[in-house]
Amino acid sequence: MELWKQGAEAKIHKTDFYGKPCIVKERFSKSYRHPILDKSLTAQRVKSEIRAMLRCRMSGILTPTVYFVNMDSSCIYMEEMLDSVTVRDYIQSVQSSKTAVEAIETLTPLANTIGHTLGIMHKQNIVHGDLTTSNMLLQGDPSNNRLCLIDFGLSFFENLSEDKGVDLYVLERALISTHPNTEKLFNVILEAYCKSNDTGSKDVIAKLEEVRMRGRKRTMVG
Amino acid sequence: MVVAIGFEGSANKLGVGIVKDGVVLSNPRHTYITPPGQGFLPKNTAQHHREHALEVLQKALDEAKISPKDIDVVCYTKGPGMGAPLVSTAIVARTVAQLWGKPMIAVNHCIGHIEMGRLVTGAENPIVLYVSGGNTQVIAYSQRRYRIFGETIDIAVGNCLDRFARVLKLSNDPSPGYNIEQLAKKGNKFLELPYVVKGMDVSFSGLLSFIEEKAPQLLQKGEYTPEDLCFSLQETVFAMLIEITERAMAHCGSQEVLIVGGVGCNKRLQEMMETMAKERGAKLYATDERFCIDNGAMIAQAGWEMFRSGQTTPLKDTTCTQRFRTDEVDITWRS
Amino acid sequence: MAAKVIQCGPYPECNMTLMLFSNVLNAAEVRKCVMGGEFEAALLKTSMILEPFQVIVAANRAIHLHRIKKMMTKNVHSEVLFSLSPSKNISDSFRKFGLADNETSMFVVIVNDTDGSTCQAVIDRVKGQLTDITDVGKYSDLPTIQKVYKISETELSVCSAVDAVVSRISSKDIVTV
Repeated sequence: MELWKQGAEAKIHKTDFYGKPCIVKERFSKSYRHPILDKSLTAQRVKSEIRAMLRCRMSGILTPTVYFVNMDSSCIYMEEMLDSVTVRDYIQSVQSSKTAVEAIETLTPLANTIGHTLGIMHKQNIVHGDLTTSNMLLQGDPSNNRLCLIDFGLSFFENLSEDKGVDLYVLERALISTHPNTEKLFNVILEAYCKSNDTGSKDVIAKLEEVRMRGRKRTMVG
Repeated sequence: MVVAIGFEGSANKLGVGIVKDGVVLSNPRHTYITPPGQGFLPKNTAQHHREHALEVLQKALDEAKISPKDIDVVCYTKGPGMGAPLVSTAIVARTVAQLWGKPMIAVNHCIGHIEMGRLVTGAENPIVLYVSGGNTQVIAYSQRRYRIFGETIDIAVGNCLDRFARVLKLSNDPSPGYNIEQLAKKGNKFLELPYVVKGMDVSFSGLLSFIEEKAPQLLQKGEYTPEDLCFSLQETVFAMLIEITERAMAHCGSQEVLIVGGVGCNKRLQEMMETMAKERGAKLYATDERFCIDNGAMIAQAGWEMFRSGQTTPLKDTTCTQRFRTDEVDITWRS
Repeated sequence: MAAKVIQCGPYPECNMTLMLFSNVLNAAEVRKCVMGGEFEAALLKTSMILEPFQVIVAANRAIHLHRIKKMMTKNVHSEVLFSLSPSKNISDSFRKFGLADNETSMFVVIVNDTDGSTCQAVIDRVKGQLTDITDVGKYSDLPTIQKVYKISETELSVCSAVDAVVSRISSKDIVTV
């Protein structure tokens, strides 16, 4: 197996799984953590990831196919998403090659797809827990907006609007801190989200607003 | 050569510090300590600051062996913090600035911590974990702002620790967090507590209500000692902080990490951060209680940077604000 | 046409032998041989298989659980059969995915047949034609597969049926669909 990337909590290897291009995501233990906590978090995250990937697919959201799970070594063997770029790289490439106005225009259909997809996900009570533009892939020609969600390690099932609101808040913060001047895109995401999560979006948006205010208005003592 | 004096009083510490071109000449501090089981209230804290302002100021001048005429700029904490203590300290700063005929600079408290940390440790461009009684933020510098990558979505980590100290009726002297740290050293039985990380954000309120509710029972039955609970609490909340800091480091490709704020002098937090940093081939920068805990020199140091980059605050704008986000400040002194 | 021997990815010291037989006349007799212990093999119902890869994923899971001693059934071959099923009910899984007496095609899996003797014994015993394993698709009963694995059209809008099936097999311990 060839080590491809090392993230903060997992090593990503590339390999071949019976003829299929495969990614092995190996969560490793963190020695700064208490062993009991470490073991429990690692197992919990492998399970959450598997569960959410399958549940998302069942709701029509593209996620990698899981080939094999080894709980003993905390490894997930999954389909390598060939011919894909992260939404992060794509936004950066669009922003660097176009004027600000053109970039927003080009990225609007993508924002629509993201909002639509997250609406479906939340409607199924799947909370991703770590929505960033690095955790979204575009497969094939990016302009086709074939969006694939990955990295579900922090996901969970919950129908509380609070958790869904925080999920969107995390994305908003990640989007705006990683890609300056994307506030408009986030609004597009929210609009599309409201359309696809037709029943619950009102409460979720209200919670999002509340969570935003908590951040801005918190009295921050010494 | 620029000499800056800084007044800090956003919470229960009153500090006056004098900095001369990156050298701390003096940094005395007086802390308002409440009885066990009690937090500090704004009104009483402000009164404490008023009572001790002149004595601490005199001490700062004496230790620095400096007279008011040598001072170039008077810096004070504009916010964030508790209203009444902030104002009581700002009044002192405004008064001396007018008496001495010196310009003033309004400083963001969080920026003070970051700049002091950078000065003391020599960290160039670190990811900053800012942890205190009122703040929990993971910060990185980019394009003239200290940007907040992660933060608590409810209460601050220091607040969580302080409130648990109240449950155990621990002494507030020298600080509740310090006493939790001492007890935690003797704990070894780990209790699993709610661990809530969302992206680069954390949440402590669920954990706090869980342990507040369970603690009396667990202690009474003798299943866990207060030491075990302090240990478990620290292990859990610190692991959450290290995790989001590491994510920010991975996200920004950073090889330096700096811990600032009152909780930052916790040795166990530093040790855990060191372990994480080492595994990444990164370097940890931390300071001791002289500079981690709120102090006047940090306000002087941030003010010194601002002053050198050409800023001053007109007297009419030397107000205070309880809410003042780290990312609102234009960082004119860094490229 | 020959049996296909495939090395196990995560455990290179293990392998699986896959065979497809068509025009089988004596399914009942072959089943008896397995039940009577004459040879150890997993005999699968071809109508429940979309592609050999589906069987490979199930066999891979079975080998893993065998190695870490966490099998739910009595041996690695019954575990292959059980792995194939999305259900946690063992007898239900055997009924749905195991070869039935009246069938005229069968898919065989043998784990760790190091000297090829089991494979030979199966070939000697089966009255039928050894066929290329990729031909198994000809026997697939897609509507039943979709029903048993609970695969909706919504899911099929983002992935193939075999991907849907494989995800369920690999996630079986963690997710119940």
